[in-house]
Amino acid sequence: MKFLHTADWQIGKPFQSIADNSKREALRQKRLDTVRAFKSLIEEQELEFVLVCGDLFDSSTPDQATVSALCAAIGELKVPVYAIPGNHDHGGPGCIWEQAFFIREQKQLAPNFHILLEAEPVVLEHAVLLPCPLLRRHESEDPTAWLRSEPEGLPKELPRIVLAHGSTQGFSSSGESDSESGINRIEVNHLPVDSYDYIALGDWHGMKQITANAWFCGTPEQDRFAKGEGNQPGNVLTVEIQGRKQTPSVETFKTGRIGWHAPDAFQLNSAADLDGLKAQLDELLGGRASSDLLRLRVSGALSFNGIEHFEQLTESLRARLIRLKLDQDIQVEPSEEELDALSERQDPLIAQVAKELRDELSEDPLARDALRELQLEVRRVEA
Amino acid sequence: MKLLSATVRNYRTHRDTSVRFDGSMVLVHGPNESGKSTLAEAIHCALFLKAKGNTNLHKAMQSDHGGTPEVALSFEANGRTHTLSKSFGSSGNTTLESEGQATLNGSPAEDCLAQLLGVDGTVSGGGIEGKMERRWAHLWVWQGKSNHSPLESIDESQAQLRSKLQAQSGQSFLTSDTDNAVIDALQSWESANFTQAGAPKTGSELKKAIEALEAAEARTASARTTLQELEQAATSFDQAEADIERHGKNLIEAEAQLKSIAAQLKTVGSLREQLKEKSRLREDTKKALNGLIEADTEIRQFESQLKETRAKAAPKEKEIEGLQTESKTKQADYEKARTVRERSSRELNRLRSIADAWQAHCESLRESQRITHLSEELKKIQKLKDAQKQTTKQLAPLENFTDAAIKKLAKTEREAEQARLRLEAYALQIEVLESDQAIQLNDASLKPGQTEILSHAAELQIGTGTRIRLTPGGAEDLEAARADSDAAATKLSDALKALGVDSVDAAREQMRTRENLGKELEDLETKLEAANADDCEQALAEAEKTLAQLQARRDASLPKEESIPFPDEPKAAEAAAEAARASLTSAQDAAESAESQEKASHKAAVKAAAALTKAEDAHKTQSEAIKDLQSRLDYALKKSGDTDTRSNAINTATAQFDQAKQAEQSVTSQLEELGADHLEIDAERLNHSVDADKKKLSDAKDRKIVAQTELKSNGSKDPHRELKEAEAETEQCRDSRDRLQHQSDVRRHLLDKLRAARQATTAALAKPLEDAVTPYLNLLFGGSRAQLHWAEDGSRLESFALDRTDKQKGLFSFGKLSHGTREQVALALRLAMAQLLAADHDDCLPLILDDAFTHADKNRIEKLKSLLYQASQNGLQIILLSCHPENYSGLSASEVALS
Repeated sequence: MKFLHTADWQIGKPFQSIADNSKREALRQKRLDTVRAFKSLIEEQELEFVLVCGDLFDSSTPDQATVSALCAAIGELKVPVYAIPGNHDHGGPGCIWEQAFFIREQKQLAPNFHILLEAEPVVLEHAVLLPCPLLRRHESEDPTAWLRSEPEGLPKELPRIVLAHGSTQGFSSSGESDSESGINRIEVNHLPVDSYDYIALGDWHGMKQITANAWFCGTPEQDRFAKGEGNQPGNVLTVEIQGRKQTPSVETFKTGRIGWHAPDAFQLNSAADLDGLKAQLDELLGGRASSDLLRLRVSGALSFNGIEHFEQLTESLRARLIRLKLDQDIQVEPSEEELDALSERQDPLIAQVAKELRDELSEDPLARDALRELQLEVRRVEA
Repeated sequence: MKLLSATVRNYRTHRDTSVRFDGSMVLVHGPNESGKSTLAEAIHCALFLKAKGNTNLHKAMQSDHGGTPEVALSFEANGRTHTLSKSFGSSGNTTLESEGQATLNGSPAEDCLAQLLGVDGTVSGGGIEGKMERRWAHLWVWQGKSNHSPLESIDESQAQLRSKLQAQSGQSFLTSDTDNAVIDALQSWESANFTQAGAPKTGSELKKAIEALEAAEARTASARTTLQELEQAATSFDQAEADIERHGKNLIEAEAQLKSIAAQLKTVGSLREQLKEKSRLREDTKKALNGLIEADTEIRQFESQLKETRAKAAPKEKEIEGLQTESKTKQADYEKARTVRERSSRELNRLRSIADAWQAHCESLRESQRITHLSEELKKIQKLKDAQKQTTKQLAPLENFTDAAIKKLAKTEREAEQARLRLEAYALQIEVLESDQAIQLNDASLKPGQTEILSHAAELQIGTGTRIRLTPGGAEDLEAARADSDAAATKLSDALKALGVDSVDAAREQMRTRENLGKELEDLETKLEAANADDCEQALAEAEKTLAQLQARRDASLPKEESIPFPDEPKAAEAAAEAARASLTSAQDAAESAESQEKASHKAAVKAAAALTKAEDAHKTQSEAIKDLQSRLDYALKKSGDTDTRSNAINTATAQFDQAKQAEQSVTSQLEELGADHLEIDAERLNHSVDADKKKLSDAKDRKIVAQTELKSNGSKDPHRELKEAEAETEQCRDSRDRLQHQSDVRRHLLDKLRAARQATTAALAKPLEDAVTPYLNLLFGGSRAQLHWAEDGSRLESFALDRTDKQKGLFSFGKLSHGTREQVALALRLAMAQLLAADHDDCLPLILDDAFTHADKNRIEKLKSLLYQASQNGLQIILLSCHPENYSGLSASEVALS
C-alpha cells in the first residue's frame, strides 16, 4: 500500500510583499500548478491516495476563486485525497470547510476530496486513517492527545496512519513552523509506539524525519526564503507500508519549481565587489526571468559611480525577478576624484556648495545624498 | 572724465552759448527759458548721439535762428584733453581733437569718443529716445526725475559696476550659467512640489505618496476591523455553544429537583390545610371555655356586690317612703284647690261675657233710635233734590234772551213782512182749488190746495193736452221785490233759528218762563243747604256702622251655650243689664277666694316634693347602682343559667379544648418532619435558577445564530488576505513616502545651500557700494546704512533699501520712502556709483543735476549741499543747473549765468 504524503500547500497565499500584483498572482498560480503536477507522480508511483496534513489554504477565509481553484486542482488528481485542516485553514465554527460554497464546489469539482474534521478513525480499504484536525488556529492541547491510548475497535490487520499538523519538540523555534511557540504542539513521543504505523505531519515547511515512522513532508512549493541550513522545502513524500508494525519506506520527490534564493550577505566597497556580485547572481539565476525570488543583503560604501552601477543592477533584478527583497545598507562614499570634480568646477556656487558639503560629510547625514543629488543635477543640466 | 567747456550753436534756444565748467563744482543758473536744460541735453547729445541723422532728436534740436545745430565740448579723459565738435543733422559730422593725437572725423571720431566714455558706440537707429535715456543715466539727473531710483536706469552701467564691485569685493565670479541652471532646476522642482509655506503641493509625488499612505492605512484599519469582527464571531460562536450546553444541563438538573420538591410541597400543602383547621378548632374551643368561665365569675361578682349595696341603702329608703306619702297627699290637696279655682274662673268669665253682651245690646238700641231719626231727615232732603232736578230740567232748553235781542228780532220780522207784502203785490199766485187731472208747474206737480207764487215765467201743464205759459207782472220790479222779500225772509228765518224760537212772541214767552223757574231754583238750593245733606248721610252711615259693631260685640261676648232673648225694649234691656252686672260682681269675689286657696295648697305640695326630691337625690347613686347591678345580674343569669348549669358547661368545654390542642400538635410535628420551610426556599431558588437558565439559554442561542450569520462567508473576498495585502501596501506606501520625503529633504537642503551661497556672493558684491553710499547717508540721516540687493542670478542690482534699524526705525525699501527722502537717497546712491565707476575715468566723472532738489525743503537742501561738497571733495565734478542760485549759497561753486 503506497500513498502520497504532502502538506502546507498554502493555496491563495497573498505574497503581499510583492508590489506587482501580476507577479503575486503568478506566484499563487504556480502553487496550484505544483499540486496539479502530483498527478504524474501518482500515476508513475501507482499511489493509492493522497494525504494532506493541513494548510491547504493559506487563509481560513479564502475567497471563492481560491476555493474553486483548489477543488479543481484536487479533482485532477483523481485518487482519493484525505486532508485535515491546519492552523491556517482550521476547522471550527464558520470555517471554510463548512461553508456552503466550499461544499458545493467540492461535490462538483473534487468528489475525490475528503476533509476530515472529526478526531475519529477513518477506515479505508487498505489502511486506517487517524486524523488530528485543528479546529481553531491556536489549539493549546496536543491534537494527537486522543491517540495516546489506542482507540478501541481499530481493525487489527490494517496499517494505521496518523495525520497531524503542528510543531514537534525542537522545531517550533526553527522558524520554519507556521505555529507560534508552544501552540499546536504535537508530542509524538507520547503516542504508543506500536499502535501506529506512520505519522504524517504537516506545518513545518522543510522536510524532516522525526522518528522512525514520523515525517514532516514540508511544503511542495517553497513559499518563503528558507531560514537556516538543512531545510528542504519543495518536496513530497511517497510512503509505502507493507503491513502492521512494518517500518514504512519513505521516498522524497522534488516538486518545487520556484527559486527562492537567499545568498549570504555581500560587502560592496568597490567596482570589483560589484563585479563579483554580478557574477554570483548570474550563476544563481542564470538567464531566467519571472521564476525566482531573491533576498539580497548588501552593505558597504560606494562611490557615485558605484552607486549608479548598483542601482542599474537592482533595476534589472527587479524587472527579471518575481521579487527582489533588498536589505541594503550602502553608504554613498564619493571618491576623492568625484569630490574634486565637483568642488573644483568653474561654477562658483556649485563648487562652493560642493566644498561645504564635503566638509560636512562627517557630521551632516544629508551631506552625502546632497552631494550625489548635486552631481546628478549638474549632469542633468549639462545633458 | 571731466567737462571743461561747452559751446552750443543753433541749438533750439541757443544761438551761440559758451560755458566754462569748474573742475569740481559749477552752478549754471538763469531764469526759466534761459536754456539750462537745453544746455544739459546738448552736452548729453554731443557725448552720445550719432551726429549724422534725421531722428526726432535731431529735428528737435533745430533752432528758430536757423543753421545747423552744433555743440563743441572740451573735456579731459584718459589723461588727455579732448575737443569734440558735433554738427547734427542729415549731413552732421563729428570731429575729435585729442591732445597729442591726430584729429578724427566722422565714425572714427565717434568710435574713439565712445571708447573714451566707456560706452558701447554712439546712439543711433530705432528707439533712439529710450537708448539715449539709458546712457549715463546714473550721472544725469534730468529735470523732474530727481526722485527716481537710479537703479531704474543703470542697465548700461550694470556690467561695469559689477566688475568694479567684484574687483573691490574679491568676488571674482558671481555665478555661472550652470550654477543658475542647477538652481533654476531645483527651484522649479521646489515650486512645482511645495507651497510657499513648505508643505507638499496637491498633485506632487510626495503629496500623492502621503495620501496613498493614508488611504492604505485606512484600508488596513478597515480590513483589521473586518477580521477582528470575524474572529470575534468565531469566539462568540464557541462561547455561545458552551453556554448553551452549560445552561441546558443546569436546566435539566434544576427541573428534576423542582419536580421532587413539588411532590413534597403538595403533602406540605395538605398538612398545612389540616393544621389550619385544627388550629381554628383549638381556638374556638378555647374561646368557648373562656366565655363560660368569664360569665360564671361575673355572675358571682354581681351577686356579692348587690347584697352589699342593698344593706347599705336600707335606712334611707325608709325615709324616702314617708316623704313620698306626704308629697302625694299635698299634691292631691293642691289638685283639688286648683279644680275649684278653675271652675270659679270659668263662671266669672261666663258672667262677664253675659254682662258685656247686655251692655252692647243696650248701646245698640240707642244707636237704632238715632238711625231712624237720621233716615227721616234724609227723605226730606231727597224730595228737595228731586224738585231741584225737575226745575233745572225745565230751565235747560230755554235760551236766555235779552230785551235788545227781542227788539232786533221784532224789527227783522217787520222788515220781512213788509218785503213779502211788496212781492205779493207783483207776483202771480196760483192755487189749485180742485182738479181731476194732473197739474204740472214746470217740472213739479201741483196738487189741489197747493199754492205757488210765480215770480218768473212758468209752464203749467194740465193733464196731457193742456199747456199754459204764465208770465207774472213787469219782470224787473218783480225780481227786485222777490229778492228783497227772500232776503228779508232769510234774515228773519236765520235770526229765529239762531235764537231757537219760531217767532218773536215765542221768544218773549220763553224769556218770562226762564225768569220764574230761576227764582224757584234759588229757593230750593237755599233749603238744601240748610238741611246739610252730606253731614246727615255721614252720620247715618257711622250710626249704622256703630250699630253693626255693637251687635257683633254682643253676639261675640255671649258664650256659645248661652241663648238669651234680648228684648228690643230699652228699659227692659237696661234692667236685665244691671242684673247681669250684679251677678258678675258676686262671681268675682268667689273667684278671688278660690285662687288664694289654690296658691296655698300649691306651696305646700311643692315643699313636700322638694323634701322628697332632696332625699331621693341623696339616695340616687346607691339606688341606681343597685338597679344596675340587679339588671345585669338578671341578664347574666338569663343568659348563662344557674350555678349548676354553668358548672356543667365549663367542664364539657375544658374537655373539648384539650382534645383540639392535641390534634394540632400532631399535624405540626408532621410538618416539621418534612422541613416545609426549607422546601419552599429551595423551590424558589430553583425556580429563579430555571428562569435565569432559560433566559441565558435563549440568549446564547440568539448569540449563536448571530455569530453563525456573521461567520457565513459570501466568499467574495478573503479578509485575511485583504489585511495582509493592506498591511503590505501600507508598508510599501510608507517606504515610498519616506523615500520621497528623504529625496525632498536632500534636494531642498541642496537648494538651500546653493541659495545661501549665492546670497552670500551677492551680499559681498553689494557691500563696496553699500560702503560707498553709507558716508553720504550718514550726512543725511546720521547712522543709516544702505542695503542693496543683486538679483539672485547676479545679473543686475535689483533693489535698494534704507536700513535705519539702528535708529529703531526699521528697513525702508526705496519705493516706500517719501519723495523728498527718495530725492536725497537717490542722489547719495548716484554719487556712490559715480565714485566707484570714476576709477575707469581718471577718478572723475561729471554729475549733471538739472533742477534736482525740487522736493527738498530748506533743511534738506542744506544737507544735500553737504553731500555735494563731499562728492566734489571725493573727486567728482558736480554741474548744477538751477533757476534758484540762492539755494546753492555756501557751496563755493563757480557760477555761470545764462540769460
